[in-house]
Amino acid sequence: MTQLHTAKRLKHYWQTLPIRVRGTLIIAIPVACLFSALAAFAWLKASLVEDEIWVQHTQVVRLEAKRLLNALVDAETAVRGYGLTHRPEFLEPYDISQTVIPASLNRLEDLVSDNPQQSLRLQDIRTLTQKNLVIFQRKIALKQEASDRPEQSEVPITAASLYDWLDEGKATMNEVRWKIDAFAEAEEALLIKRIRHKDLYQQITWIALCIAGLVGTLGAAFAVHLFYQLERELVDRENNLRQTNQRLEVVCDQLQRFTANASHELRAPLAAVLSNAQVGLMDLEDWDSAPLPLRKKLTKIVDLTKRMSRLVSDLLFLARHEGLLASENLRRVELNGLVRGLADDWKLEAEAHQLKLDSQQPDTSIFVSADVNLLRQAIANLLSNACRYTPPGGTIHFNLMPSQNQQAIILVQDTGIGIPSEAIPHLFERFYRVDPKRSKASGGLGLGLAIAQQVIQAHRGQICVHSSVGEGTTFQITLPVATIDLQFDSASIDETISLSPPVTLDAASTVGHSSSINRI
Amino acid sequence: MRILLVEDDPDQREPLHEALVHVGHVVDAAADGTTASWLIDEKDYDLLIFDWMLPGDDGIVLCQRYRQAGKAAPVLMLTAKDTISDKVAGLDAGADDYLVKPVDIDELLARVRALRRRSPLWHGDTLTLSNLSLNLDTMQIHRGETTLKLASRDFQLLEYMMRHPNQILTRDQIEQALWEWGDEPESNAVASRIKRLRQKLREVEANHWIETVYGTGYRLAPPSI
Repeated sequence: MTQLHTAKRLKHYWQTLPIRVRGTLIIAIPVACLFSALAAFAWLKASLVEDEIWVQHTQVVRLEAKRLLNALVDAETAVRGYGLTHRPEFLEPYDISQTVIPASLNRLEDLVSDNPQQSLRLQDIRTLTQKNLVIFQRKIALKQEASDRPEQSEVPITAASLYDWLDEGKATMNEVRWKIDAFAEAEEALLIKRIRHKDLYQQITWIALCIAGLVGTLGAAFAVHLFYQLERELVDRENNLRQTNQRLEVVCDQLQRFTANASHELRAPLAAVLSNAQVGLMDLEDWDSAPLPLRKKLTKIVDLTKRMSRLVSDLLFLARHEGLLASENLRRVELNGLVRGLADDWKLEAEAHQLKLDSQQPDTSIFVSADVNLLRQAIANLLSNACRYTPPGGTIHFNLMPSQNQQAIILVQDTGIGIPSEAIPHLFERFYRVDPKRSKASGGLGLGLAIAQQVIQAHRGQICVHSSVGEGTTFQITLPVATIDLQFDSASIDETISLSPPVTLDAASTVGHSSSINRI
Repeated sequence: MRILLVEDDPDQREPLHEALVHVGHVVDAAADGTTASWLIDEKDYDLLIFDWMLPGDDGIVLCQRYRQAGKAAPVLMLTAKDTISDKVAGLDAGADDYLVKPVDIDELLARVRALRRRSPLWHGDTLTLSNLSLNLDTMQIHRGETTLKLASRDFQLLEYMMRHPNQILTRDQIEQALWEWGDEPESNAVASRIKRLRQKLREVEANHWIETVYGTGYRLAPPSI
């Protein structure tokens, strides 16, 4: 049960990992298997090679020991033969042994220098061999003395003395032989041990290789499984995304239909109310003795309906222009001209409020990529606010200036009543009014700044406000200046526009005109 | 001026109708695209006002068909559709002007006057016959020192007759020109309107300018000096 639980948790954890990590792990499994197999194999191989060297070494030691023994035996035989025959040719093997034995001993010492036990044994052997050689030397010397004294040569050598001569050194010789055998046996034991060790390692190598192969195969199979799972998951994810996208498209469509329907459904009754009230007013004009209160009421209905209609337009505007503007709606706009035009348009309005409108633009043209109608609307909202909240005799500064970091700044600065600092954070909220009574009296809907902000943000710009009560308010719009590529882009767009029939341009200008009249 | 007004919502149609009649136009009002198509084929209009969304053919289709038929009278789209692309579509379909609802009646009437001025049949704001002149915008007649404002119905009749001076106009012709579609005139309706107009013209001493041609109709003719 708990294992199942753990497996489930592990699976869940696995699925929460990012794709990149999972992919790396999946690739890591077979790679790790491969590397561990290679490492194990290399280690085993190295140890086998070492074993092989050891076996060879032991064999050499054994051979050398045998050679030493043989040399000793040869020497003894030679001494015996010489003792019996007195022929110097019998001494030949002895002479050879004389050179072979120390060399062989030295070699053996070299070979077993790493094995203190064997070294000790060899030390024994060396002493005993020395002893033997001394005995041989003495025997030969004795025999030579005898042969050098010819007077004694006649003296027959008794059998007993011969035996004594022969027996002399036998014990020592036997001891050496025994020691060398022991030495060789020890080496033999070592050899057997090493061969066993080698065999064991060979077996282990095989088993390790089999296990590594098995684990590698399993790892690869598991990796393939995980990969398939990952792929399935990716496909699922893609399907989900596609479905979500479709759903979003449907929602977007619905929203568009809704705003279209809402604009129709809200405007139709407003249109009916407005027309009926205005026709009522017309009828009253023909009626000579029309009661004044009735005319006032109808005028009020007309005003309220127009206000309501403006509210509907503003709300629809906000709903439609949410988010950044699509690049196909952007054109290259010269801000100097736009600001100059707006300043001219608003001069009359400012004068109607007994205000002075002062506008300055730099000599060099500043271009931004913008939807010019939206931008004009946003700036107009700021100017409208400035006109409404500045007492007569005041001044509105409406300036355009370049700024660092490829930005353009539009300032709308008034000498108006100002905004209390606690109201500033809410200033751009929809329907927010600093002073509800005053705003209503001045005809504001509480949407102008929200619209301005939304439009400026849709152009990747920023709008901010500085104000102190009684001194005035400054709204600052910062817009990114059109880049070089965009200039190329808009140049090509301009071209396509000028290539299209003039009707379109006419239409566009008429539309701009009629819409501005509608808003007024 | 004869105007076709197509609007499906009676609450909006009736005041517009009334306002247009009030300033002296003869207005045929239709509530759907099918009726409007039929009327366009049957009659000649000096101005057409279309709503966009209509039962039957919508305003855009009506406008396109009207232009395809080679007719040149100005068309005004009056609709709640307010986006730039809607406006471009409406104007591209052949409309001469585009107004978004709710529209101020004064603005609508100003637009109608402006469109009338653009018409190829336009000969100025004033119709003149001998020393009698009729201002089409103010519905006033001037003769000598006297100025007189006419009621809408009298203005319609006088405008029609001044546009066809010295011609014998039959009762049928007058009915065709001045009666709105769906508004059947009674047998003596033309006679009574002529009578009313003569009474009005008496104030500028021009009542005898309207001659009755017995058995046929009427003729507006200034006395030969």
